[in-house]
Amino acid sequence: MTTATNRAVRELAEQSYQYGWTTDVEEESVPPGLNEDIVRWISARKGEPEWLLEWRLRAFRHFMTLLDDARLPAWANVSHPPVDFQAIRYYAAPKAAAELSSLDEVDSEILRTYEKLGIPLEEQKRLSGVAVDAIFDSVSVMTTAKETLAKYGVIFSSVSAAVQEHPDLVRKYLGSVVPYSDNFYAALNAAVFSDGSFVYIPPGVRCPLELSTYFRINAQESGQFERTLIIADKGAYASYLEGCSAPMRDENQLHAAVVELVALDDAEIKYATIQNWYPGDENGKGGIYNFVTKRGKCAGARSRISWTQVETGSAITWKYPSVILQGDGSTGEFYSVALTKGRQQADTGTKMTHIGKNTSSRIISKGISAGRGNNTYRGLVKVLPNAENAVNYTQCDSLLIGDQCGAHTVPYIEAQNRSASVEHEASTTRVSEDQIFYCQQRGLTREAAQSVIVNGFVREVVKRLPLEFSVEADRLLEVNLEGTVG
Amino acid sequence: MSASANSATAWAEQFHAFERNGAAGAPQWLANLRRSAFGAFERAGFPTARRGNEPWKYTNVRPIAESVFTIAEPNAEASVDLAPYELPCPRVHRLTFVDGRYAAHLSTEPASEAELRSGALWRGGDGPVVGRLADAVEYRVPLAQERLGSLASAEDDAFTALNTAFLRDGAFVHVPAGAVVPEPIHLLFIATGRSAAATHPRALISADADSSATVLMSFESLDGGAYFTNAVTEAIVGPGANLRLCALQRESAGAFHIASTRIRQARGSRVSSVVVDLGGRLSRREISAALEEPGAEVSLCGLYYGDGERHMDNRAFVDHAAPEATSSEIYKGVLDGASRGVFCGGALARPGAQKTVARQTNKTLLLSPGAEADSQPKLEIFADDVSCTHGSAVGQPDADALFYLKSRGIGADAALALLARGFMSEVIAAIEDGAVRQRVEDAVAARLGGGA
Repeated sequence: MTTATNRAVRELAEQSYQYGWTTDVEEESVPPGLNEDIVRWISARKGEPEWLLEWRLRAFRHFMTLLDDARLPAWANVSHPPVDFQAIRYYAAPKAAAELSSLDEVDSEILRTYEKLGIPLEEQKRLSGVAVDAIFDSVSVMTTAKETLAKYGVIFSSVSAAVQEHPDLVRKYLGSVVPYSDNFYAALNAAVFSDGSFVYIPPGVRCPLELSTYFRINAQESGQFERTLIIADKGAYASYLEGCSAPMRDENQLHAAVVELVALDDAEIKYATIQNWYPGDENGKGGIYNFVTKRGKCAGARSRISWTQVETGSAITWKYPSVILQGDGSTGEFYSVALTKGRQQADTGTKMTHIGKNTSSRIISKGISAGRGNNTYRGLVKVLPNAENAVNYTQCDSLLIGDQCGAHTVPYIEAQNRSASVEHEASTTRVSEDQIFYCQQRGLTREAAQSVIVNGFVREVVKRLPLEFSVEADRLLEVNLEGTVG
Repeated sequence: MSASANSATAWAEQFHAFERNGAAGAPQWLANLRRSAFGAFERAGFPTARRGNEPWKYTNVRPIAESVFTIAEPNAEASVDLAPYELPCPRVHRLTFVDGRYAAHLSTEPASEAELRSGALWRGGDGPVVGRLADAVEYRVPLAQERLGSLASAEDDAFTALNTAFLRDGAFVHVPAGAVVPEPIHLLFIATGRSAAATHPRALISADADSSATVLMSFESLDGGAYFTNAVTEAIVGPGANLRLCALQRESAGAFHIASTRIRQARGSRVSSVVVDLGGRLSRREISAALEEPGAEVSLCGLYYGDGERHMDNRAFVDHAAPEATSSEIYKGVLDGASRGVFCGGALARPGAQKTVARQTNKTLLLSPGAEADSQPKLEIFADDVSCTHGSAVGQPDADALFYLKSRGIGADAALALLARGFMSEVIAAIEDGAVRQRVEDAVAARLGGGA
C-alpha cells in the first residue's frame, strides 16, 4: 500500500465523532432492569389503553422465553460481549416533556441540542419544507408543522400521541408488519417501546412536506426503543427521513427500534435513514449497538416502498430494511451505503419477498470498509410459487480501504416460480490504481482522486435521498471519509 | 424409540461388527482413525435443518438419518457389462469398485502380488500408481498413512465421519514428481442398487510436484433401489502440479448420494474440477480447495439436472490462504419437474491474501412451474488488493430463442432440450480431456434427450 493511502487510512481511523457531547437536562428515568413492572409502568406513564398493555405483556413474556432459552440471534457476522438486558434503563425522558403545543415550552437545553445538531425545530426553519419529530431519549419532545399537515389530513405525531388521538388506526396497523414474535429484538421493542413517529397519509394525498424524525440518545445507561409506524392509504405519497446521534460514552448503549411501513393500493413511501450513532472510539470502546428491525409491506396493488440508508455510525449495525411485495405489481427498493471504520461492524442488507404477481425489486448496496471495520451485506430475495413474473436486480459492491478490514457478501436467492428473473451481481475491490493514475494525469492529487472515486462509488445511492438531506449525507460521508478522500 | 434413534443404534451395531470382522487386522493407526471418526459421528449425529444450521438450511437428510442402511455385501465376481461406462479412448487406468469393493476382473490395474510387495510399485517410478487403498494400507505405504484423513476430517460433518469410520477400500492414486500421465485415470464406482445398502467409497489422490493427470470418478448403478453412497475424496496437489478432476454422478432415481472432496494446493499448482450431477433422489456434493501457497489456481465447475422430485445440493468453497492465487466457480443448473437445485458458493480471502482473484457464477434455468432454485454465492474478504466478483441468475429459457427454434421446425421439447444443453455446454467445455468430455457429453445427452 502506498504511503499516501496509509496516511489516509490512519487519518480516517482517527477521525473523531462530532456529535459526542451530552445535554445537561433533568431527566426522569426508571431504574435499570427489565421486568413486568417496568413494562406496566411505561404503559401507565403513557396512559395507554388496555389492549396495548396486553400486547406489550405478551411481547414481554415471549422475549423472556427467548432470553431464558438463550435464543439470541447468533447468525450475524458481528461479535460483541453479551448484552446485559437487566443493566439497561428502559425509560428516560427529560422532565415535563409531555406533548408540547409551542416551541416556547421546550426545555432550552434541548432546543440548543437540536440547534447544535442542525435540526430545524424553529418556526422560521420550517419554511425549508420539512416537518420534524424530535425524539430525545424515550420521548418525542416536539413535532413541527403539525398545522400545515393537518390541512391535508396528514397525521404526523409521536406514536404515544397517536395512541391517544387515533387509537383505531394504531391498533389496526401496529405489529401488522413486524409482529412481536418476529425476532428477538422485535419482541424486546414491542414490550418496552417508548416513542417514535406515527404517520398516516389519507387516500389520494401527496404529503406536501418531507417528514423527518431526529433521534437523540442522551441519558446514560439508557436504551432507545422507538417504534415508527407509517401508513400511506390508497394513492398517497410520503417521503420520510430519520437521523440520529448519541453522546460519546465508554459503555455500549442499545438501540433496538422497529419501523413498520404499510402502503395500500397505488401508494408510495420513501424512507431514508442517515444513521450516525456514536461508533465507539478507535479501539472499539463504547458505541451504540444498533439492532433494528425495519420492514415495509406493499399491501396494495401497484404500491411502492423504497428504503435508502446511509449507515456511518454505531459500533454494531444489525439491520435489514425489507419489503413484503404482496400487492400485484408492487415494487420494493433498497439503496444502501454502509461505511465501517475503526472497529465498527455492520451486518446489513435486505429481504425482498415476492408474493403478488408482476412484482419487482431492486437492491443496490455499497459497502465501504476502512481501518479495522467489518462490513457484511446479507440479503434474501425470495420468489414464492404464485409470484408470476417477479423481477429482481441486485448489485452489491464492496470497497476496501486498508488491509486490516473485511468485506463480506452473503446473498440468498430462493426462486420458486419459473417465470422469475433474478439477477445478482457483486464485486469486491479497492480503489483501482488505474483509476487513480487516470485522475492524477488530469492534475488531481492522489487524495482528490480517491475522493472523486469514492463519491462516484456511492453516488447511485446518495442521489436517491430527498434533496433536503442529500447535502447532510454528503457532509457526513465527507467527514467520515476525510483523510481517505482528501 | 424414534426412527433416527433406531438408525443410530443400527450404525453403532454395524460399526462394532465391522471392527470385529471387516476391519480386523488393520494397522493400529487406521483402527484409531476409524474409532475416533465413529466417535465424532456419534457426537455430531446427522445434520438437521433446524434454525441456525446454515450449511443444511436447504437440504433435509432425514430420509437418510431415519433409514437403516447396512454395509453392502458385494459379490466379488459380479458380472457387469462395462461397455456403457467405458471411456472412449484406447488407453485408460481403470479401477472398478462394485458396491464399494474392488473388482479386479473389471479393472485394468490388477497389480500382481509380487508387484504389490515390491516397494518400487508404490514409489511410482516414471508412471502413476493407481491402486487399491486397501493394498496401500496393507503394504504399509507411508504416503497412505501420512495423507489419509489429512484433509477430510471426521470433525467436519457426520458423513465424512461415517465414511472414515467404515473406511475399507477405495482408490489410491499417486502421480510422482514430474510424471505426466496422458491417459485418463478412471475410478468407476458401480452400485448394484440393492435397497438399504450403504457404500463409503474413499479416494486419496497425491499429485506431486510438476506432475499432470486427469482423474474421472464415475458413479453408476445397475438397479434402482434406495441405496446410499457416501464418498470422500482427498487430493493433495504439489507445487506446479496440474490435476484435472471430473465426477460424473448417475446414481439410480431412488439413491442417496453424498460426496465430499477436499483439495490442498501448493505453490503454482493448478486444479480444474468439473462435477456433473444427473442422478439420485437426493444428492449433496461439497468441494473445497485450500490455496495454501502463492500462485495456486483452481477452477471449480459443476452442472446439475433435476426432474421429478430430485434434490441436488452443490457447494463449492475456495480458501485463499496465500496471495496471488486465482479461483473461479461456475455452476449451472437446469431444473424440471418438481426438482430443487441448491448452490452455495464461497470464497474466503484471508488477511494477507493480496492479489486474490476470485470469481463465482451460478446460473439456473427453471423449466417447470414446480421447480425451485436456491442460490447463495458468498464472499468473505479480509484483504484489500483483491478482485472478487460473484453473479447469480435464475430465469427461464429465452422465449425468442425457443420461438426461433420452433419456427425452424424443431418441436417444443427438443427445442428446450437443445437450449438446456447449450446452456450447460460452458461447463462441459471446461473438461480438458477429450475422452472424459465425450463421456460426459453422451451422459448429458442421454439424460436430457433431444437428439445428439
